[in-house]
Amino acid sequence: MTRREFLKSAVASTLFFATRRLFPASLVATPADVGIATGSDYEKAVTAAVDLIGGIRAYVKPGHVVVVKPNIGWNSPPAVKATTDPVVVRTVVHLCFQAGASKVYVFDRSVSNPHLAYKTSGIQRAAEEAGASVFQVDNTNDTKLYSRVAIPGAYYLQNSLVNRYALECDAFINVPVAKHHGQAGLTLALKNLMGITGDQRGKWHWQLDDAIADINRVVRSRLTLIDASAIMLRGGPTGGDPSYLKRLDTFIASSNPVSADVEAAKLFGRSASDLPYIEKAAKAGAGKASGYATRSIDV
Amino acid sequence: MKARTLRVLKAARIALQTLCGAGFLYMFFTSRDPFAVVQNPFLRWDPLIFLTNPRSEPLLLLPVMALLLLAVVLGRVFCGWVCPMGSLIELSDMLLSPIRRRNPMAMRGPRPGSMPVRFPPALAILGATIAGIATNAGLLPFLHPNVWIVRICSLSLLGLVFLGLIVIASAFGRRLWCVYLCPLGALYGLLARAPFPRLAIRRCSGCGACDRCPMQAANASSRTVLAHQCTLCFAFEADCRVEGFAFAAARRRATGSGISCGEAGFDTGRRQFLIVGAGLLGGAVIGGALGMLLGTRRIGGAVGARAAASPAAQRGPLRPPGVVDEETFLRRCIRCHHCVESCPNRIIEPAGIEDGFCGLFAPRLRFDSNGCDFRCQVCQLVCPNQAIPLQTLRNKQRTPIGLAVIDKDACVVFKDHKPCLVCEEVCPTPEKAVVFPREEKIMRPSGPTVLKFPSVVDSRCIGCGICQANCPAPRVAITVSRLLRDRS
Repeated sequence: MTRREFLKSAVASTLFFATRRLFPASLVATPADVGIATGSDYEKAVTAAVDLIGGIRAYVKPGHVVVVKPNIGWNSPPAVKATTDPVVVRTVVHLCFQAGASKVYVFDRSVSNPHLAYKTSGIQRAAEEAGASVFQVDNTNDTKLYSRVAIPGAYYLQNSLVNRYALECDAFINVPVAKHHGQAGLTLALKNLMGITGDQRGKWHWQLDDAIADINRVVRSRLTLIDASAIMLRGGPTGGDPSYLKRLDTFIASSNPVSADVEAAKLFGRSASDLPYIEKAAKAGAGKASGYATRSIDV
Repeated sequence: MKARTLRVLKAARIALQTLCGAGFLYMFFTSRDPFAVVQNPFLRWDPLIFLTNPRSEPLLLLPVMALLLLAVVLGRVFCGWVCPMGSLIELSDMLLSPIRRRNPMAMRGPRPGSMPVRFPPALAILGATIAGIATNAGLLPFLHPNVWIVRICSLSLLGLVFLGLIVIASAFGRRLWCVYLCPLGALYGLLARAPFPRLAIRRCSGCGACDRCPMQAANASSRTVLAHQCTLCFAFEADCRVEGFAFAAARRRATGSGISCGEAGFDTGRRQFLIVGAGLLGGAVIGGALGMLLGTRRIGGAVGARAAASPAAQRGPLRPPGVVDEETFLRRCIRCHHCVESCPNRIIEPAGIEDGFCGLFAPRLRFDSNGCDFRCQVCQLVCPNQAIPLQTLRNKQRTPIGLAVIDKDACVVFKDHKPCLVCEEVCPTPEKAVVFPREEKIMRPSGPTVLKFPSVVDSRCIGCGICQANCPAPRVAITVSRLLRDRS
């Protein structure tokens, strides 16, 4: 080895290790649009799924105010899987703080009584223990909590009351649970955004697919993580019978809710064409319904 | 007894009153948290309320027996030391004492009004209450002090009116409710007539300190302490100059030995017995007749085919979950409104006169803004008398409250051909009670839409009203009614 060669290799290896230290492995590899991780350790699997799409630091920057929006729709225990698994919510909150988030808010507009739903679902406790600020949203259209947003080019919802935390945060993280829904077919990431709106949501059901797509125009999910640990195949969105559930231990992370929903629908054996709101949301610019890169991992 | 002992006893009494009052308030306010519901012990273990729903659970029987035994041995010590209503009245008396002193109408001094009350009207009220318990239009819910204190705490209009009456009464005399009207006090007073050592006046300097007795039990001129009125509150006894108060055997007093003033003797004893008996019996006759008279106007939809046939029956009130038999419910329900206060969904409200006297103030459900949560049992847990029976969660989820019916003239799917399945979405039963047996494809400008027509499966519906509360139609198209449930 000549002196020149030695110096070259020395500099190269120094640079290599320096870059390794500077950039995490997930950034060196090209991130996918959708990351699917399976594993019975939900904390690990959720983290792995997020790492597949570039890691949490690609989505949450230091100092960000983050909203984590799980599904706390019903007063039902975690075993029913009508609500997002509390471990998943806790892990996402942990990830946000690891990325340097200054504040993490967790809320949903429950259909059941929020006092009951937040506690029974285990999410209030899990999120608070992780350091998030949890607040309950009831059916009063409090003007302090909501502001009315016009939706240009809307299919159906010309305007809507939208939760200000969702509008004004730096990063909106959508953490739904994958389950059956009588009218929409499935309720996944796109439909989970119903929980950030005010108004009388009942009337939206008269044109539900359009309303779901429209609300996804207003608030973009910066990161979507679908809890498909045990998917509810029928009897949704409330469920209640263990026989409705199919355990998959799967978590789908995505940079856009549309691709996440397409992948989640596949778990139910359904395609995007079965669910009109996916196509409509893709047209509305909420994400890619096809032609996205997927990576999966088993942890 | 030494003045010092009496002062200690008075301080202990005030301390226990404060403790019981604070305990009651703590219990009342924690019960508003659906995850920390407490049964009101003042109602659960009450001997009078026990009569409306006698059970042989040792945890219930023992405290009731203990309370009765306490009354036999120590008289109305409950009224003076424990009863939260008594404490409230005393507080009100204390605050209004300046007004009472200036009030020319107030009872004071050796007036007839402050003479010892030998046969309070409360005896007749007690008789009426007990007789009414057998009917489902009893007077107990309107006369029990610890039911009223719950209503006062919940700041309901009813409770505030009663509070107002207490305050007004305080301007005229002390503890007027307890002396003249309280049936619970009368019950304890009745037991206090048992021959046990009672507080008595052994020596008297004639100073008149005992005219200050708030219960009108002691009197300087007759030099007696009436056991059936005395609450052992020791409010003034320490001021007795000759330390003349002592616990003396009733027999000794009865022999009229001259130590305590004798108004006793066999004849007076029998006379007393007869008057007390007559008072009770007279009240019982009135109470029984009242119950029978008012109880005949049954509430529609619940009792008997005759009621079900009348159009009023269509509006039969919906009762809290688990209530199956309307008559049992009305007999046991003491209208304490703990369920109204604790229901997290705020769907229980006290009935007004619309359900007749039978159902007056009885809790009924209203599904305007919310339904009965599928996994919530707060009303069953808080009910102190099991008028709303405590079921297992599984049974609660299967016991129908009513039955949902779809009005096809109001439902937007039938009427306007709009796709809407909110009732199905929110239906909480694992096997949904709202189904869509008929589907139809219609053309819309935005593309073909599948219309699903909702229908209720009667055997699955538990009438929780969540569909009714969430129905987005301009006129609510799915409503829960009681009559149809009874028919099924």
